[in-house]
Amino acid sequence: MSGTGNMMHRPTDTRSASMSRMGAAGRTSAVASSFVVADAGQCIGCKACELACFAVHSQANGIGASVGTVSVPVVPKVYVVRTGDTYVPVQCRHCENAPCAHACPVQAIRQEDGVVMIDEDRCIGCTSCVLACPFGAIEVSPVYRAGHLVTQSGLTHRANRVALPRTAASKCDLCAETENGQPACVDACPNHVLRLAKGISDSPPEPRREVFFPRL
Amino acid sequence: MSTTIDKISSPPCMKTTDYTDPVIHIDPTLCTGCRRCAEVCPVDAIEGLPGEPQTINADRCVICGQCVQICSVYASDWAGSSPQESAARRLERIQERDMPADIREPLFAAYYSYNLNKVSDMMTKPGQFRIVQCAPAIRVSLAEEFGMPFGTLTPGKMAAALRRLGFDRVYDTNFGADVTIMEEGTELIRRVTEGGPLPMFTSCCPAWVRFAEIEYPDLLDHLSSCKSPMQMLGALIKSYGAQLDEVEPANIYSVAIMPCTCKQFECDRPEMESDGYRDVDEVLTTRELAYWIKQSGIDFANLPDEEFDSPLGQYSGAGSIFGVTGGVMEAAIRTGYELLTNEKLPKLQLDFVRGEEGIRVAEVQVGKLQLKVAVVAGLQHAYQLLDRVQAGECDYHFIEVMGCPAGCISGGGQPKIMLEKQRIEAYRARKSSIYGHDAARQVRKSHENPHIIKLYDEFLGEPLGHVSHHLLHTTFQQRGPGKQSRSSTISIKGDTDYSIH
Ligand code: SF4
Ligand code: SF4
Ligand code: SF4
Ligand code: SF4
Repeated sequence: MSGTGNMMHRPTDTRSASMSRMGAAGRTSAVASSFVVADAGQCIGCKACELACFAVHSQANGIGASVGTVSVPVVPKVYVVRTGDTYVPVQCRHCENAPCAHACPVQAIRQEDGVVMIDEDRCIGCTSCVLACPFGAIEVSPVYRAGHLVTQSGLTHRANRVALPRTAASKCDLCAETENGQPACVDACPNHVLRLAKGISDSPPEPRREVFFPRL
Repeated sequence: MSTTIDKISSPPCMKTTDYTDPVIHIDPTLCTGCRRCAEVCPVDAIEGLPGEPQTINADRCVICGQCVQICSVYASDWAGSSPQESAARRLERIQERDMPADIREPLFAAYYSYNLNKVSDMMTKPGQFRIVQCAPAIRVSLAEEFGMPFGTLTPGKMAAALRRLGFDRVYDTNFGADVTIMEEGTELIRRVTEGGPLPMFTSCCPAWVRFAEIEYPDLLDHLSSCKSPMQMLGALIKSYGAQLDEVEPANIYSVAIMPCTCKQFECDRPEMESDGYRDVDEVLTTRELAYWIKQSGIDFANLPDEEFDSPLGQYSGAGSIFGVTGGVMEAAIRTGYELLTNEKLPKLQLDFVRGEEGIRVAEVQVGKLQLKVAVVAGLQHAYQLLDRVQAGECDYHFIEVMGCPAGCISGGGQPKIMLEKQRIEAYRARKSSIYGHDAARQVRKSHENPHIIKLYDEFLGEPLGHVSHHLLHTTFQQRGPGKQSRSSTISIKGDTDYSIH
């Protein structure tokens, strides 16, 4: 990695691969972009990270510490995937020039303090961001509030006329709202597979939409 | 939805086994082979390659349920090609597991057999006298299933909930624990004075009993012949309790709420019956009771506090500390000391048996006797001690063994904690809640519980007497060729002389 000011606590192959895919390896930005990196070979596929992620993001749905308090489907913001014999958790890289944000037609995705955030209320569930994300870190899923499925007025199932759920994009927000700022997945992983990599950079970001979507 | 449910879960046992339902299962369609369960399994019963679905060797498994507690791989509700397909798959899994149909929590790869449907069906049968007992460790954990803080103490709400679920009598396993102390304490004194096999081991934890039967069958005569508190109370409910209520034992339906996945196995043991009646008919776990309360629409948080029924629901503080590691020992010393010396125990809180280490040892001056005791929490710590007993090198008098890492408050049927880092926090809170419950009770020694005194006056006669022997004591059986699993690494606390004065 030919980074100038990018100080990774733990540079990995994954990171450099992703940077070159962005066509912008080594460019720096004014916004410090941190993200959770995974040591793919070490992951045992226990999904403790998924469960922890779901647990800390679901308190508004009345979910406490015990599994018995869970009354909504488990929808995490990190996904453990398996390829061949290897498990690896996949989550948002908080890209400096977030392609998802560029793709979002309603500006529901913004970067705040280096964290790429999705405003669920604003999201129209169009999945543009899902297609734009090079990592598959975004999932569009039904929205639950206070333990109940939110339905969207005006949308009904063709056959039985039942209101359809409102869906919204959801992805890692680096546990922006947790107390100590330590992502829950990093804490929960029994194998120390996950780490918070802190990016520190000094020059302003450049628009790179043409790199990602030359024909958009 | 599809009605062809092949038994996808419950993989066939690796070997033949001596009981029909292995209780603990791993769903091979979910298990990712992370083997975290294998790390906590004290007897290496979980077999398989990393990354492949695991199987449980049912002949070796002691049914402690620790694997169920740790497994974090769940069925994703979004994995199917459509939401309808995912919902149908979920329902299939729920039916395979015989869980309540309306359950909403995630389904994990490791799970245990559920009995709630069986029990709730039986509850509707007319002409039955329905009795329930609850273990000491339920009242400090049940509330967690309703979102309350770890260790919230709710004996009153629990009794109220059980009445609303339709039980005619709400009794308490803590009373059975008080009886256990009377019987086990007397047995210990007899063994010490008459030279019976020593050390004597407790026999209240069915996972430990099963462990001894599989791994150390040659040491079975070291186990106390006492049934567990649950079985003792079960036997008393259908004899003494039936007399008091003037009901036929045959018409009693007796349910126990336990923190433990092994208690159903214990209650199914053929020897756990008296006069042709099962001591306990069915066991539910803490989690199952929570499902039931939710299913019935009971607003647990706003229930009034109600009392347990008398006399088999009236307990001492000693009975209530059975739920934590060291509790049986502490309760036994409180009574044993006074029975042996005829003097008042100067200090009730016996800190030397309290703690979190896998093994704690101490010497207690009881009259002229220097009583050497040990407490084991977590079966992985038992191997080394038992090897020493086998070699004749262990001169302790009394050893408490509990299968789970912090005793029954950490049992396999207790609320499952989502974040691993909160587990210790949960155990500590449950534990301090149990000790607080003990400290707040007026009567804190089993032999001073007036209802225990009355039980012996009116019904049992004396500890280890004829009636006791018939109802409250049992035998054990060899279940394996002897030690086959790992040996342990242990940390020992204590080993110093301890004077109660
Ligand atoms: S918690 Fe760690 S080991 Fe488990 S699935 Fe997540 S990254 Fe892998
Ligand atoms: S049962 Fe659960 S903890 Fe055990 S290997 Fe399978 S997924 Fe992992
Ligand atoms: S129930 Fe206990 S003994 Fe059986 S496999 Fe699970 S952890 Fe091992
Ligand atoms: S310690 Fe308690 S919960 Fe654990 S196996 Fe023994 S009796 Fe059951």
